Amino acid sequence: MNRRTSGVLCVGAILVGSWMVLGPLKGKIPSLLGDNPSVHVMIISTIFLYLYFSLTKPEVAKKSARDSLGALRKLAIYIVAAIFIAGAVINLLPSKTIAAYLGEQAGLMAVFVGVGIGCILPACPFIAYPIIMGVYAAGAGLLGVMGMLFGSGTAFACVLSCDLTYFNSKIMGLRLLLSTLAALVAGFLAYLTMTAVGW
Amino acid sequence: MLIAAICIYLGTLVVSPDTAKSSVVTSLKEIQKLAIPIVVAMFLGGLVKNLITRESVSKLFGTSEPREVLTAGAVGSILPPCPYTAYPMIKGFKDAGIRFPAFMTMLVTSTMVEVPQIFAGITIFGIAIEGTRILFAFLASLIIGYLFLVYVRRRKLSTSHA
Repeated sequence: MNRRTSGVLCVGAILVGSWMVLGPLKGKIPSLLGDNPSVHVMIISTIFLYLYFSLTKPEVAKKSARDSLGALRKLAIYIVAAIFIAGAVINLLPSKTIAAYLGEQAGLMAVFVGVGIGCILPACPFIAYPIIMGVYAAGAGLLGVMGMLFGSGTAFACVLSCDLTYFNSKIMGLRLLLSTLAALVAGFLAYLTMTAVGW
Repeated sequence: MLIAAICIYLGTLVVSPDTAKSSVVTSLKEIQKLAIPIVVAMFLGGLVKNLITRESVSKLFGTSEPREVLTAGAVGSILPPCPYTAYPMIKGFKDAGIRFPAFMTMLVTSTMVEVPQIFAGITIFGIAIEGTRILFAFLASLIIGYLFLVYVRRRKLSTSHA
């Protein structure tokens, strides 16, 4: 089967698959797939992308599946731990304190605090994001969450060790400075936009 | 991470068993909700990682320095979020001869924008927050990249005048 035929077949299958699930449910996604339609689209797309590459480039599909399984095996326990920490954060951290530093009323300060917290979180999004989600659920505002997301992992140990392994301490220092500045600028842009549109 | 989780739960169990119990229930619900999307997101991330190679993007670099910064920013954004995977590729670009401001922009975007994180972001926060994150992170990284380019050029000028 050539690439074009496989591509057309897979796009057709994605559309049919999406219609079959999304159409009858009218947006009500089964809980196992999450309650977010974009996640559902991602799941269907992944299945058909793997199908497409197993037909056109089987070695890429095989290597990707092997890499993903390896990463999953390596990270699974940390992801579970991160979700448990997030669960504890939701129940333990006083929502008043979170609201004071990361809530809507904290304004621009929430961005600074968020970037500061985000910097020391792990670089892997599957581990850092559940923790940020936990802080969000515990009462942080969108600006504080955006600050954490922008800063996420920039000063985590594995990134710093890669800076030193592949480059040197000067590059590490400069990257840290520029990344932190970029995270603050991004937070400031988000602050201006959200204030302007009243999000 | 593991030790932190165990310590938090042991401490909470001693101080407030009810809070520990409700934390476990909340976490188990989250795991049930996120398990399949996270596995799928990791598979999609694995595929993206294998499709983006240094060879496939190196032809996008131009000769002018501002364009090089822009391209480096875009390329850094689509590199895998794991530094152990992204850094060897960035070193490859540096060794291939991209200039210092472009190299630093690539480093910044690779640790900050991380488009392949989109799958994790959509899974956990939804497309609106993740889209906003990528947009502002990319814009801010480019602003910093261009400011750094201006700084490096000025410094070169002042050094040559001296």
